[in-house]
Amino acid sequence: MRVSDLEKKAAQIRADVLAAISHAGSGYSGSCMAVVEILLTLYYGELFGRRLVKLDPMKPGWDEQDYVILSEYFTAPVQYAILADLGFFDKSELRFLMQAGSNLTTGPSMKVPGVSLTVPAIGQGFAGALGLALALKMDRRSNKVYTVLADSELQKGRIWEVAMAAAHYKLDNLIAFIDNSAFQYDGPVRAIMDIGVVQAKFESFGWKVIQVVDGHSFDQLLDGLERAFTVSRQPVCIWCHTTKGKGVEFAEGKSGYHALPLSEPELREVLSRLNLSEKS
Amino acid sequence: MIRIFEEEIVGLARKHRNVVALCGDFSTKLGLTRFSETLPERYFNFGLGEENVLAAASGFVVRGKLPFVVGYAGTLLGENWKILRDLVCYPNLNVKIVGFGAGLSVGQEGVGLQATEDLAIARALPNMKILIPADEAEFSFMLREMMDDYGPTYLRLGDFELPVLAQNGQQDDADLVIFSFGIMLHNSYVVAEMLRQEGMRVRVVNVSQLKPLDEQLVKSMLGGARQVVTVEDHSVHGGLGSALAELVADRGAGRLLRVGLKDRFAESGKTSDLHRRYGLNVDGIYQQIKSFLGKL
Repeated sequence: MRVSDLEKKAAQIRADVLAAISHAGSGYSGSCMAVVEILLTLYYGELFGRRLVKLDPMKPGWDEQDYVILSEYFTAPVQYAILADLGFFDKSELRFLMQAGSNLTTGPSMKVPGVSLTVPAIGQGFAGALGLALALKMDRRSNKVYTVLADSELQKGRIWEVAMAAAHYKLDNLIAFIDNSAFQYDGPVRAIMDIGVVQAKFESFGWKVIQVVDGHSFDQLLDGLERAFTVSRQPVCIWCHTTKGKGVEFAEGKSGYHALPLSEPELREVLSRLNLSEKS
Repeated sequence: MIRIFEEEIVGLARKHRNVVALCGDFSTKLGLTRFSETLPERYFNFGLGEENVLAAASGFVVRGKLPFVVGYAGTLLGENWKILRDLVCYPNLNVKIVGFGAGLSVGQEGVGLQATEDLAIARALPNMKILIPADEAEFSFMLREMMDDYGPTYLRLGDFELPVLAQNGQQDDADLVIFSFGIMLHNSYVVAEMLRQEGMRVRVVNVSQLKPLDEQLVKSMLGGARQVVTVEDHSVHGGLGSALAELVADRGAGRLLRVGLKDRFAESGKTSDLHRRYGLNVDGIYQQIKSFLGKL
C-alpha cells in the first residue's frame, strides 16, 4: 500500500475507533489515536514487496503468521478495527466493543480471530510476547513478534525483566514499539515518574534501539522497520515519538483524553473533519 | 518429591514433544537438573525475573507448547498472582504450575519461602485446578493424569519424602470425619487411629484435589457425621477449611473445626519444630480435636 493510501486508511481507522469507543461510552481515545500509524504500518505496510505482518484472514491462528501483541492493552480498539477491515470478522461487531456479551473486550482477547494473546492489563503483553518469541526460536521458525508498549509501561519493573531476558536469549525475532506519547493518566510521564532516556535504557539492556522521530510518519516508520530487519542476535526497540490524540485537533497532546471517549458532539466534529460519516 | 519430579518430568517431556520447562533460578534444587541437561532446548531459566516465568508461559501456549512452570509455590503464585489471574486463568490456558515449599516444608528457609496462603489465592481464581499429592505414588499418577487434563493447574508439593500411605480403614458410619491432604494427611491418619482407640468412629478423607472440589464425594464422605475437622499446613482462611465451611454451611448441619495456621505467619525453623509450635503435628492435631469434641 502506498503512503497516500495508508494515510486515507488512517483516517478511516481513526473514525472507526472513535465511533466504537464513543458508542461504548468508555475507552482510551487519546492513546488509541497515538498508535494508529504504528499499527497500520505493521498490518498494511510493505517492505521488499510483501506485507510486514504475514496474515491470512481465512486462517486465524495460522502457523506461519507473524504476531502483533499489544502490551498497551487499551489500544485494542485500533487492532480490532484493523482486523475487521482486513476481513477477520464483520465490521458491525465494533458496535459491541466493551459491551457485556461481546468478544471485543477492553483488552485484546484470544477469542477474536486475528488476536493471538489475551492481554487484560498493562505490562503483561510484553512478557507474553517474550514467551512467544522464545517458542519460535526454539522451533527455529522465522515468524516475527511485534509488540507495542506505552512509554508509561516502562515505569513497571516487570518490563525490565522481560527486556533483560529478551537480550539474554538474543531474540532478534522480537520487535517492540514504544508508543512514546509522553503522557499518562495523571499527566506528563516525566512529571509523574520520569522514565529517563528510553534509548539509553534499552541499549544498556542489550537491545538495538531505532528512533522514529515522528511516530505518525509512515515513511519514517517503514524506514525504522527496514533498519530493524538488519539487526541480528539482539531484540529491537523502535522508539516512536507520538502525539496523544493524534488526528483529533482539540485532543492532541493532552493527557485528559488519554482514557476517555469523545462525547457525541466531539465525535461528530472529528468525523466531519476526517471527512467520513459514522458508519453503523 | 523432588527426586520423583526430576525423573518424571523428563519422561513426560520425552513422550509429549510440546512440553517445555520454565523456571526462575533454583531449578537445580527443584528437580530440573536432569531436564536442563538432557533437553536444554526446551528449558528456559529466567533467573530471579520470576514474573516472566508465568507470563512467558502464555506466549509459549500460543505456539502449541505445554509449559511446566516450576518454582517455590509462595513466590510463583504470590508474586505473580496478577499474571496468573490475567494471562493464565482468565483465558484458561493449559499451563502446569509445579510449586514446591508447600506449607512449612521449607522451614529453615524462612517465612519468605513458606507457602501458607497459596491455596487461598489459588482457590479464588476461576479455572484454576489445585492438586495436592499425599504420597509419591499419587504424585506420579497426578503428573501423568495432568497431561490428559486441560487448564491452569497448580500442583502443590513439599520437598519432604512422603511414605506411601497404607489404606486407611473406612468406617461405614463415622461420628467424626477428618479432611486433609499432603503431609497433614499422614498426621491425620495417626490421630484418627488414636481416636479410634478411644472408641470413636472416625473417617479420614484425602482431599487430593482441592479445586474443583468434588462436592458430591465430600458430601457422601460427610455422611451423617456431625463433627467435621479439616487439617492443612495452610492458613485457616481460604484453604481446605474454608472449602469445607462452605459445604457444611450449605448442608446446614454439622460443626467444623479448622486446623491450620490461625491467621498468622510461621517463622524460620525446622519443619518438625514448626509443625509442633503451630499445632500441626500429631499431638497438636489430636489435642485440638479433643478440645473441639469436649465442647459438645
